[in-house]
Amino acid sequence: MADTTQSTPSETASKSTGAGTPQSPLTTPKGTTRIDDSVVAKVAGIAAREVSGVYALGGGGARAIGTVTQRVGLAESRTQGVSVEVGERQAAIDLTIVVEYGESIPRVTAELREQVIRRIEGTCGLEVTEVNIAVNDLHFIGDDDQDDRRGDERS
Amino acid sequence: MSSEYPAAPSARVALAGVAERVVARMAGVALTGGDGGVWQTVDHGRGIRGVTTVAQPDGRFELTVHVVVAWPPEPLPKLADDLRRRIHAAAKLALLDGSLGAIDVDIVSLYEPEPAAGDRP
Repeated sequence: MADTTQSTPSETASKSTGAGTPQSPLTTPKGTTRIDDSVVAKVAGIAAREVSGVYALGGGGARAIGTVTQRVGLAESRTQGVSVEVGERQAAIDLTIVVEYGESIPRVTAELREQVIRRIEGTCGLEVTEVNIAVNDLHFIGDDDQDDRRGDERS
Repeated sequence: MSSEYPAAPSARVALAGVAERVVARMAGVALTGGDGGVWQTVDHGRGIRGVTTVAQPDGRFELTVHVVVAWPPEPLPKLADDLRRRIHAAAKLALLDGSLGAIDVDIVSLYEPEPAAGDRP
């Protein structure tokens, strides 16, 4: 279940600085600004969680492992399910999400794409060339209650 | 024979010190030495973490300031420009602007600041 939109050719996040392209706000005569991939991923992850209908980020396995690694302080929950490719002035984002059952997936993904682009372009000054979204699960209300009950029975 | 007075810092270290003081005065920004503290300027036994300096052929020094930024950040290009402007102004006050070349800003991570004691429930 993948919803993918590519707005430009696939080499988008490459370092294109050809003639006629606008000057990046990250490159100035007084010095350059480099933004780490993890910063862009974190901004994208936080932006994605702001969209209604997005229940979680990451695949089932990633979320299960992520829960354990976050508890021992080895992982950052905000970048789970987010993969970025950052060039000098452009970025491409891949997101894996779980959508709330009952929400329109096309609406959620369209809003998500818009929100991520707005946040990254506004915060990082990078042009977002593509946001690829994979919807890998649906979340049903009551799923969490069942998980909690199972946990209680075991303990 | 050792002098009882410490050696005056070189222009390289003095510029790194200027950048360090500027970052310390900016809210929501902190220097980071990176994994293993590899990003630092060391000279005559004193080290400044989070600032690296590279000598240029024209005798000036290019600074790279490695920072982490508090969430939610203001637009990062604007923050970097502000940082550059402040370092230039501080270097001028310290009469070091002749030695200062380009200033690169490396934004390494975002962090969420600890809530102030009064904010805790």
